[in-house]
Amino acid sequence: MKNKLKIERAIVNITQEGLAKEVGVSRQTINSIEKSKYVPSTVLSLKLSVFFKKPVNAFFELEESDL
Amino acid sequence: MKLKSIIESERKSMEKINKIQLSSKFKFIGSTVFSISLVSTIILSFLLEKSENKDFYIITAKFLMLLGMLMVSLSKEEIEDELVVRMRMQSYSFAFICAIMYVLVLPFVGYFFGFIRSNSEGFENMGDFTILGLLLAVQLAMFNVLKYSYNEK
Repeated sequence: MKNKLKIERAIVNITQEGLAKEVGVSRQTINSIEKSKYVPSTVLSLKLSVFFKKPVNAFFELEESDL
Repeated sequence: MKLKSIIESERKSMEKINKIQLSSKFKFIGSTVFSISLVSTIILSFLLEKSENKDFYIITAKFLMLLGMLMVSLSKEEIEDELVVRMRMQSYSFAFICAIMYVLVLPFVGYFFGFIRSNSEGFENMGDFTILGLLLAVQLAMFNVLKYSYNEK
């Protein structure tokens, strides 16, 4: 799964640490999501969606291999 | 209907058990208990070589070593989020498989080397301490490796 979390973060000008605090996870988790090492749960995805005020599929996208 | 309610209550109690965790302070307490008991095991095995109570002290020290590792294993991280839960589960399953592989493979390795040296003591009994210690040590090592790998920039 591809994601545009880093871009979205740059748009709102927030650090990994800051975003992590906003959604209640560690900086490590945000870093792992950005590096596509970790696929977040539905709850965390929805929290990110609330924070960025965008639907989940605006920053998470399925890849060919996921279909 | 009754079976369903039993399954449901089992599931709920399982969920409760899975949530049992110690405060993050226990990471330090557990490490201290482990370190002290490890050093005491080494010192006691030399000092009490001919003492009658040697076994009692060694067993107590080994018990404390396992207890210390269990404390570290069960203690929470500073921020306990879903990634940490995932890493913990991965490390437990890896440690579980390692311990079973160890139990299955090691006697044959011992037997093989015993056979080479014409020694009949091939299938040795493995102590609980060895297996539990390996299980906990692999879990803790794996958890820290995963933490490092997910943290890599």
